[in-house]
Amino acid sequence: MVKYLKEPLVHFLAGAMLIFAYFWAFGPSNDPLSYEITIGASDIDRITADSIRTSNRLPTHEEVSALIDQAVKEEIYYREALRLGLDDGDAVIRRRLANKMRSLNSAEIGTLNDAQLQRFLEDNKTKYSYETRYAFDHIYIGRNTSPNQHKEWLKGLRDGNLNVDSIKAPLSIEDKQPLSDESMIIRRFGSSFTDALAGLKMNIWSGPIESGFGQHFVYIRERQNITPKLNDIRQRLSNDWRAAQILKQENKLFDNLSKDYQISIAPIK
Amino acid sequence: MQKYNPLLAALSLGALALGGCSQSEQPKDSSHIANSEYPEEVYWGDTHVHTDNSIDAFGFGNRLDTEAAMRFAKGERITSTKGVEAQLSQPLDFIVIADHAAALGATKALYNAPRLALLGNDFALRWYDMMHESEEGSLRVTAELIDGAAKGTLPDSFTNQEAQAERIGDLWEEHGNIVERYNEPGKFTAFMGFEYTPMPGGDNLHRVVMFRDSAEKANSVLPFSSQQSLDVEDLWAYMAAYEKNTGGQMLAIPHNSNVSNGRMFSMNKFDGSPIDAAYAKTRALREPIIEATQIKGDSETHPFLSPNDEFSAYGVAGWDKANLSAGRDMKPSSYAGSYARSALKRGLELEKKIGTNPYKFGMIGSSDTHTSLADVREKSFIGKHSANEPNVENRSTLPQNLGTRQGRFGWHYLSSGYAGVWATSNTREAIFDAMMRREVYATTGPRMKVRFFGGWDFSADDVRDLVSKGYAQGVPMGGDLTEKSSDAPTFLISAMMDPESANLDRIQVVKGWINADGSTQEKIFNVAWGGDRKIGNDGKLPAVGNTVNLTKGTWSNDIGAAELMTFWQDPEFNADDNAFYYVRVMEIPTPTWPVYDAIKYGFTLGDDVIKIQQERAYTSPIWYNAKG
Repeated sequence: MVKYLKEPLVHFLAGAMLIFAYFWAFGPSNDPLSYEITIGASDIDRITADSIRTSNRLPTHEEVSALIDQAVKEEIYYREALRLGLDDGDAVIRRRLANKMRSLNSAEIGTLNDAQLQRFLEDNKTKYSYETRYAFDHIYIGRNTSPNQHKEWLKGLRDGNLNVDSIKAPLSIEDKQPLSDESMIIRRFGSSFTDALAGLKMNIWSGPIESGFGQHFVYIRERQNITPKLNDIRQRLSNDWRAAQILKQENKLFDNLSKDYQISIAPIK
Repeated sequence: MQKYNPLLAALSLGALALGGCSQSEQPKDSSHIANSEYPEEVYWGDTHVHTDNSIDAFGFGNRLDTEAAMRFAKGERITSTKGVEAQLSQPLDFIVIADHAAALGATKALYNAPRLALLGNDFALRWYDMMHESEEGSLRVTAELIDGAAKGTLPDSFTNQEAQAERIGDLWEEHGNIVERYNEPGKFTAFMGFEYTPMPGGDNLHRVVMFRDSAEKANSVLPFSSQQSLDVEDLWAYMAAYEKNTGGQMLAIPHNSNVSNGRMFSMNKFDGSPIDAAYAKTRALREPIIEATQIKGDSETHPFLSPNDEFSAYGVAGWDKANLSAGRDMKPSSYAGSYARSALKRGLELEKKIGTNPYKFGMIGSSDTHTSLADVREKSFIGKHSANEPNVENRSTLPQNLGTRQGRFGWHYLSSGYAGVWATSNTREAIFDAMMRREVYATTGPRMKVRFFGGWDFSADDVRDLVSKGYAQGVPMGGDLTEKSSDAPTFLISAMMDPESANLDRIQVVKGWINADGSTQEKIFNVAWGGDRKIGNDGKLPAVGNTVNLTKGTWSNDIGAAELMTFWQDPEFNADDNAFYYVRVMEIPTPTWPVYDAIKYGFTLGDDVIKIQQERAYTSPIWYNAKG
């Protein structure tokens, strides 16, 4: 009791609000603002159990009775505090309650079977079919060449009468890139080069296109747009589905709560 | 008799809320993944990522969990705690989530505990309320935590490992489930790991500890915490016991030696007695690599130790005056025990004295991010922790004191470090084994591709066929060369720029050796460089120049070179002197992260803020051992 008195009132209220939140969420729906207080058998069991945890022994009848009086007193104080709006503007209470609401959203997320995963894959085709594979040849010409040279060299390459070695700059990346995932091409050449491949025609010399190293003429030999098979990306799919599920749950809960609110926000300066 | 402790009850309540929502999956092994004959690919990773399970990360505001950290590393778009839309242009190949074992998940559990359970514990209540009151309060709690850990004044409920076992056990298992779900042999490797965080008096003796094994195996032990022992020999004993009991394997990675006050690479053991052969042998076995660069500064070397090295001041500002908690000032006389290069030299000294080299380590970089997001590009530096994320407030000039004492500012953070690993496949086994043989290197961010081979018979012609000759006739980075004749060892070295970063300035070989009289020396050789430059009479190669545009945040690759390759033979070799050689690759100058912040938000940066830097890579050394 002494310990509790040492607490500022606001702390006391925070604890009470928690009980409120708890019962609001899990317990019988008592209206905290009614003038009726019932201490039932289950309440007395809880009070007794709490006492055992503190003192490591069974409380006497008198002790339980005193604890019940305390609980009643606390309940009255708590309801009156709510009526006075003492919780308003108290950051500790606000945050605690908001956080509590958020954590109500931790429902179990299961796993999908293959048929369901397959459907998830098909429903998200745009995300999972982006994988493009390329096989290509490239000629690295360094950084210090002119647009006029480029024109001339490209023509020579297309006509087949240019000595490739005469324009090549040294770089220890193979001239022939075998059929590879984009991720492998990004690893070798960087992402801007890889992005540029999408705009190039097949079976003809193009470019030059730019990588971090400098410029390259490119001849695309093969291009495959892959819709990955379930087997290849099962793990990724189920992780993605799970992450999407968590987000969905969170949004659903919030949407449910927020739909009854009218929110108006002043423009940000 | 057991006393009821409300804080403990609260923490375990919190754990209840955290556990129990996991779906365990069968661990998938890597038996179907083919290994190449020799390492063909450098795999990129971060071995040092903190999530909201780290007490300080959560206190700093981080609300992103293991799952978010995994998804980000794999290349997914993730919104940071403070709302930055973040995504890597190139995914990482592997990750070690290394949350602090000490009080694992404690701040999260405390925060999520019912406040009622804390009544009567003034200490916990105060923190609890501070954390809920405001972000500032939460930061203050974190500063007090770090301070308390340094001074040993944290309450029992944060320090007693047994009392926390249930919460930590649940978390560790839950963590294991997520790691297992994201580990995809051949595509992405997720390691089990944690951080061991001893900090006596604020002197940083931290290690990242990682497992070669499945989560199931790693879950057979709880993370070893600095609350169990501050003496790293006890960590090694824990590792040995795990290996004996499970047949698994672990390694430990010391980091932030720069704020260890000379104690990370001391000549003495933790108890102050001189290092002996048994200690040296165990250390070399358990700690084959160190983290030489990360957000909290660079630990390669210091201008005081390497006055002739014009690049030695990188990542030193803000970190060389006081130890981690800033509770103790550090004197230059302590630096030899704080930086990697001098430690490698000390290793030679100790080897001469006691017959074994305890400091025979390779080098990696990693971020030590506390945001869950392993992005170390300057242009998109997310921050050291969540309170340090990009904001309209100029974070580069804000005080960033990890303890409660002033003295460090935002711009002192480096947007640094990744680990490059030459492995035969992207699997736990192959990457871990490459770390054990030290075939790894550090970068401060850019993913430059660096090869380094030592041998006795290389010639200049071999450069054309560098990799196959290197493996066939020599040893890669991390290896040993034993005296063959009086001829000097030969080396093949290549470095290719990161195609998403800048040209290279030069390749250097850093040599350290021990003389007959037991004294050690170091020397830097410029061995390959871009552009038309000549080594001057002072033995130095002129600077590459500077093309940085500070108002645009750009540079030009008109200087330097996209790739450098060379053959090199030590011109000052003495067959009697043990030595090490490692390679340092320098990029041309580029802007630091505060410059990008300033452009984005329209800040003015003070004169003291470093705005231009040369990013770099450090390879593991190759050691020369005289027959003696």
